[in-house]
Amino acid sequence: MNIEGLTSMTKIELVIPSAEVDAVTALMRSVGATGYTALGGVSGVGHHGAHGGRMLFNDHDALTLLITVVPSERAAALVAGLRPVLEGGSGVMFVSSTAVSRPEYFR
Amino acid sequence: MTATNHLNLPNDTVATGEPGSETRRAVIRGMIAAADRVVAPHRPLTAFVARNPLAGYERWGFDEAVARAAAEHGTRLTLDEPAFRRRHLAGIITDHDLRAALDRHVTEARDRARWSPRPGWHSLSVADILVADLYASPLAPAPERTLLTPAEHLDPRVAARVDDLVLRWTTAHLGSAHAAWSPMRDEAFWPAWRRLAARDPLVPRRVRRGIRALGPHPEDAVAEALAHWRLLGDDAGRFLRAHLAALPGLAGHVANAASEGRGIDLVDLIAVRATYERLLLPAGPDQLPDGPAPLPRASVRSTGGGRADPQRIDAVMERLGLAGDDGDARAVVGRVLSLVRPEERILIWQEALDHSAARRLAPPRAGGTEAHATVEPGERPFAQAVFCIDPRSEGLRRAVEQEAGRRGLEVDTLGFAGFFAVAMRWHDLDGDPPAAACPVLLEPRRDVGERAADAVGATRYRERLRARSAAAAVVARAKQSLVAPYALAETAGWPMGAAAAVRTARPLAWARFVEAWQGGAARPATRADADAAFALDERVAYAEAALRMMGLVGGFARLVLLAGHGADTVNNPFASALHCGACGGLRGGPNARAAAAMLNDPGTRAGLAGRGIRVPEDTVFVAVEHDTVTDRVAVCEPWSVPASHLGDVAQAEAVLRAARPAAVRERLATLPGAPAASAAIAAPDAALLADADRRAADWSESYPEWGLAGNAALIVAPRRATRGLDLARRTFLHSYEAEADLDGSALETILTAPLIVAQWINAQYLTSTVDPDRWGAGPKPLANLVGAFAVQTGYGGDLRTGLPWQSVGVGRDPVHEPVRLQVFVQAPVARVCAVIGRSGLVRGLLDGGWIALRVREQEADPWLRYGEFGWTREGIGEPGLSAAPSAPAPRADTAPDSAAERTAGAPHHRPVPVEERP
Repeated sequence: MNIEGLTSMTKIELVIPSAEVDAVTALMRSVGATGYTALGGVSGVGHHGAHGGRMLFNDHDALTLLITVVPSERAAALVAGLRPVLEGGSGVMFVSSTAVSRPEYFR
Repeated sequence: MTATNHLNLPNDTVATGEPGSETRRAVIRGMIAAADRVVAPHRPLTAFVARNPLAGYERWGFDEAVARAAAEHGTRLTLDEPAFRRRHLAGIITDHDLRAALDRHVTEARDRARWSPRPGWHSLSVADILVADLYASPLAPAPERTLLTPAEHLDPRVAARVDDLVLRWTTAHLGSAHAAWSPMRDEAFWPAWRRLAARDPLVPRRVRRGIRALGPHPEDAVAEALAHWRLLGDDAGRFLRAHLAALPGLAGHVANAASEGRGIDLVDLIAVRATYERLLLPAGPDQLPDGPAPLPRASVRSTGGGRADPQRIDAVMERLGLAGDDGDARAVVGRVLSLVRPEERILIWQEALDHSAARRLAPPRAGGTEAHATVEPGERPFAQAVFCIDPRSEGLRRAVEQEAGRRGLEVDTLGFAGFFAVAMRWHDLDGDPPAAACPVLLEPRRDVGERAADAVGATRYRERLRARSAAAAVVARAKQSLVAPYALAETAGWPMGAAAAVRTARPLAWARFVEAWQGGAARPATRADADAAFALDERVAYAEAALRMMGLVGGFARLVLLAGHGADTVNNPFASALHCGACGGLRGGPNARAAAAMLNDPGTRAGLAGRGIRVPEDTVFVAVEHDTVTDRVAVCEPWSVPASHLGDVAQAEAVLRAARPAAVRERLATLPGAPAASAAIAAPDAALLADADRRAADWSESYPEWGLAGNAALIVAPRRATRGLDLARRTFLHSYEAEADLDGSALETILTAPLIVAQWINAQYLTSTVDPDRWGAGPKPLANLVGAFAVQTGYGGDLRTGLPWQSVGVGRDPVHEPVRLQVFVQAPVARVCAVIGRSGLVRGLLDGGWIALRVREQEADPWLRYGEFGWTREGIGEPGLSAAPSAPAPRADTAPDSAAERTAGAPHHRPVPVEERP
């Protein structure tokens, strides 16, 4: 990242069934992630076909996009923990480099 | 980024803080998160909501889930073969059902070409031979659990000890909020257990020493166990799943507690289990057998089972009347039998049982010879009554329609989820803890309170309530403390004993006494403030969604009843299972009140008019609550009814009162110990109604009602498609008018919410019936409460999940027919296809065979069944293959015989001998 003053971090994004959000966020916390963003009811097309977005009367079965940013030295642990979750069920994970302006929020 | 190989766990060191330990812990946590799909979270008794205990298996098709459940839990998802064969002998499953099932399951069975084994013999088809196989072949082996923990492999006594120790500690933690004292209160489970178990004199010193050596991270204890047993990769995953499957009830409760942030999770549970096992078992990895065999695979379409064994061929030959030494015939029969593995037969039987239910409950095709009432749109009806889709409503709806008809009144009944589109957290006047009054699928959108206009009266009421609660709390604390129970028994034993005797001998008199005593604290008039809690745009949006989903967008009557439901029972740990599932296991009255407040709100109506739904000014929505034990229907807020409509409400109440005997009579005909069961159907109304009232007040009654037993189908259609049919309280009835659903969004909501709730309920009843020991809550009389959140059977054992046997069976026989949910939708096929295409959730249930879907656009169209290769017509709904019309409401003095015949016809209507009452 070529923006002066920013601190490099790793961003991990997951699209997972909402029913698994609790387990995954617990996993994030256990490796020291200080926070995450959850977008419920995301839609799209994937390996298992189309997925509708938010349902009027069903929060439980929607897909959720979880985003967390961790210091790069912690990313490997988190990714290693998330892989068995994804291998045993549905969902996708994206790992990318990012940069933040207030690194103390993420340590 | 370097990918971490999570399979190399034991190669890492376990010591806290060493490089790699954080990764290892994350991997352990991730593996347990993956393994937890072997159990489903189970809610506490106070908020019991039906759910498939094997919901994690729905990622696979039903057929494969059957094989996996057998291997991992040693359980079935269907009845066993003898039970299916008995149903065939009883006529519940017919040959037609079996052949229809074979058509779906074995491609070759669709070949109707006859084959003759020898000139002169009857010609036989592939299906003939396979039907004979279903009837007569030796039984397939019973399911056997192969997913075992090391202790279960090596020493079952140690495994039992581990289970016992783990149950003691975890239930102490889970129940600490309900106990008078607990050493684990206000502390997370893992540190509390390490602190206390290290001093437990009930375990050997080496175990205590081992516990003292554990670190602060439960993941490290799991890693240590995996290293001890030298388990890697898939074997490690199996180890974790085996520990969860060892006590699935406990694991389900822990999973639920984790989701509520109560200081315990499945990592803690496995860590404790694995630690006890490692420390108690004097064995090493070398003594473990090789890993279990791969799971048997079952497929939706039969893939063949290799050569059939001679005994099976003998049995089929004999059944078909063929000579056992006829070599040609044996060869042909053997080849046909190889199309189906013995363990696949139960899948065909299950399909046949499903088909049996579908043809009994299918709304008939209009224009057929079967009579069913049709309602012509015309004059404004006297009233509309919206009931919950709960199958119990179906019987009352029928009775109300018939009674209204007798009086020359037109009452249109509709079906909608009993939360009436108001997802709220309910705060009652009594000050009970706020509770989510909405389906478990939903988070409450707003907090709605019960408000009293008379603030002084409300304060006085609450003060009296508090005083009485304080007195009750003193007694409760005395009963729960360590020493006080002895003093309590000495001082209050006699009066409490006398009260218990009266309560047992005269439950109704006792109930009246309690009611009179509580009369001093009469509740002030209150109303639900949903019209204030929800913003105007929310009120309009939810009101429109509800009205469009139920198809009520015009032709409003002066009076629209919104009927929630609840169940009055006493001394019943499973009371919430009888309340409204769509209201989160609470009574449905508050939701009906909230919905009525929103729909009567002038602002909401103006907004609705802007969206094309004009509710006449003289239309009033009135909340009522249906008590499913007594079939009484009470107006929730009589003081909210405008004077202009008091007459209408009084007339509606008269209809509801008059409909009650017929509804009660029909229900009691199947309940153990009811007058209707012992004295046939001729018991007088008064005796029946008194018996229903007794069941609501009798603390020794284990059969207050049948709940949703018998549920088998969801019908999404206008009422005119089902009106006049006797659906035997086996169907979830959701009203739907395609014309009112402009963009198809209402149908999408129905198929992604009410359908899912119905499927959960259906799966819960199915599993509790087919394997009550594994998935049911056991017999009620043996249930011991654990901290008010679960029950055990007798002294110990796993925490029971699911429904008690008294919800699904009598004696040794199930009353509930365990069929998968049969869904009928009357809507444009293209619209249904669009929903399936968009919703992976619905698609998964359909493609996995967890539900069956049949669709037709109009009443005159044939039902088409969804399949992986398109829509097919099976004849369901045609004459002889559809629901039967209902008889006129039986009266004790007019038609006893016809009523008895009618109730005996449906499988759910099994008269129960008195002697079977426990």
